[in-house]
Amino acid sequence: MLSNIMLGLSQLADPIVFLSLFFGVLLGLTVGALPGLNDSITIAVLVPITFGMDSRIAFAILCGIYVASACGGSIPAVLLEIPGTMSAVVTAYDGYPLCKKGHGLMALSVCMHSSCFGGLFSALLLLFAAPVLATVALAFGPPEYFMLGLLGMSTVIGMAGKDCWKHFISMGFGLWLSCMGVSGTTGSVRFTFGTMSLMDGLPLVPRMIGLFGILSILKICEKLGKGEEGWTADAVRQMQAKQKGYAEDKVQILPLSMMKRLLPTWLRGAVVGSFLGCMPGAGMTMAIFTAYDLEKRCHPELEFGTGVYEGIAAPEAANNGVVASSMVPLLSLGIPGNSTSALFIGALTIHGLVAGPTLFSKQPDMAYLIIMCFVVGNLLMIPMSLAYCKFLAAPILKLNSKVLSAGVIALCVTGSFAYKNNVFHIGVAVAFGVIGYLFYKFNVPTAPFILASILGNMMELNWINSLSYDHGFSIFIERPISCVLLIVSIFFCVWPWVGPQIKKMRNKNKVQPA
Amino acid sequence: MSKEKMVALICPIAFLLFGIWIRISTLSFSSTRDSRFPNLAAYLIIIMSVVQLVSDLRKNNHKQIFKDCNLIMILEYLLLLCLYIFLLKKIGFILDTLILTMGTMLLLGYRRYKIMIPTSIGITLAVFGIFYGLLRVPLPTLIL
Repeated sequence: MLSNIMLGLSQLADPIVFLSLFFGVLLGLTVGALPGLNDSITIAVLVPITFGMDSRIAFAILCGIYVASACGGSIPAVLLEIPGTMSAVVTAYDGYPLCKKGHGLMALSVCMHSSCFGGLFSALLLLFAAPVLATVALAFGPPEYFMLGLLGMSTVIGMAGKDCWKHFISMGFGLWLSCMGVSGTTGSVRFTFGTMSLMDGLPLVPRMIGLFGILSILKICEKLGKGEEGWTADAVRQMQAKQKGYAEDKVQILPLSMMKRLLPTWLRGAVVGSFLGCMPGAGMTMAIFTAYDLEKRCHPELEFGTGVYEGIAAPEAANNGVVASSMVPLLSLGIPGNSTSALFIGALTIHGLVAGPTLFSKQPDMAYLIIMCFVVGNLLMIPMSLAYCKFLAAPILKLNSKVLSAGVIALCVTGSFAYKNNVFHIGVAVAFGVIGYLFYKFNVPTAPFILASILGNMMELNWINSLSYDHGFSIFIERPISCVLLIVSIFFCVWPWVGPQIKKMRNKNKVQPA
Repeated sequence: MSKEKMVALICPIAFLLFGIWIRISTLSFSSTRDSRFPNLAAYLIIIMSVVQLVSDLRKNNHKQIFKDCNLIMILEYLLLLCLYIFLLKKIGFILDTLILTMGTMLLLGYRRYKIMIPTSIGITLAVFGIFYGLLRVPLPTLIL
């Protein structure tokens, strides 16, 4: 093992390869920070360009992009409430409130450290435990995937407060959205209203841009002439700086006390991300929501959604945890873990390599170079992302919200268009901005709807495939992994009601003897 | 019934009608496989919105949902966005985005023209440069 690690490191020690990794990380941070663009779009564009390159340089760039884009997505999520990538959706829930409180730069520092921890954790897992994890992932069939989806759905129940019914309504709406377009099972067309543009369903990127970006501007609009006239984060910071005992907000290496506080959160997030990343198709979204929900359950004393550091640390550790671990089934078995790692198959083929176990035996130098790119890329990310935030984020925070809104809307509409070069998608973003506004006014949560609209497709397909095994519904109980996942899902659903009752009973018992 | 209560009831009633519409739509699907999941969504929405409706009807104190909201400003802004979509393929990205960014600042009440105009031009050109120049997104460039 050590000799293989050294082999990978020796490849990376070539200055040009190392510089390529550096460039890849920088590019990843940039495309992650731009709404509408993400790692898979960039890698898809770059794969053909890398054809004439040295394989080591090509993979250093691609790995760098993949490693850093999830981290870059959190920058606009914290500063503008627009997730740059899907992986940063949950980060916005606590990141933006922190920014409005004047802790935007500190929140970004937490994001970068969390991403690095999660990424490094899963990269080391890829290095040492890839074959074992790949075998576990192979044990998952349609019933297990359906139950995994159900588990993801049940996590949003954990987010429910008083109005849990609205969570279910929102979830139902998301499930309906996932049914739009051509059915994955029979090929028939559902809920397209005769529009060709809806044949593929409603695309995720414009939806998210509407729900976060356009909504943030509508929220500024509604306050105009009614008291609040916009804000600048810098003004908030300066105001708070006058208060006694307020620590200056800046991009920084986290103090040891903060690292100690967040370490359990990072560990939980990284484990969730790494585990779900290994499952082909399970994906990023489920990881970030599950990590966030798990954190909420671990810290009932904190008010998540109002600006809590744990609320950004958990999803950020999870999303970068997914990145390297999604390469586990690819490098060990030749099965891509998600759409981005699927693009790596194309890149490997272009360079005359075959993904799968033979890669380790026939070309260990390339296999371990890729793995070491993930390890070193994550280590590079900390200083680079902190510097990136310092020079990019700090000036943004000084802008007036009205001027900033103009930049935000330009990015939103262009990002929506760029997704598939279609004006219709700008319309989708605007429509979801309005839907998001109505949800916000009527206090209907958007998280269940986002999650259900993403998991719905996977769940439907695996539900129908499971039932075609001729076992009926019993198949979900007969298979051990599926059964365990079902039990955990039920526990997650029931706990918000049962948990407080148990606590009450315990407190009663404590009081009685006194 | 108070005005606040009536406004609060709009949400569960709208979802109830929406759930019923989904259920009716699935009746026309040829395969039961296709209708299973939409039906699940429909039942979930119908049942939960009925529960929400009953709960809202029982409640006496309702928040004023649209209190202190400048709804006219929101409508004006949405109109600006619709105009942007309509004009994008007619006048091209640069001019259209320039109008949008300036319109956004003007609508939000920003009146420092010396900053507004160069900022709008800067934002538009920066976005165009990144997406069209660097990332090769085929943005419409008709007039400008």
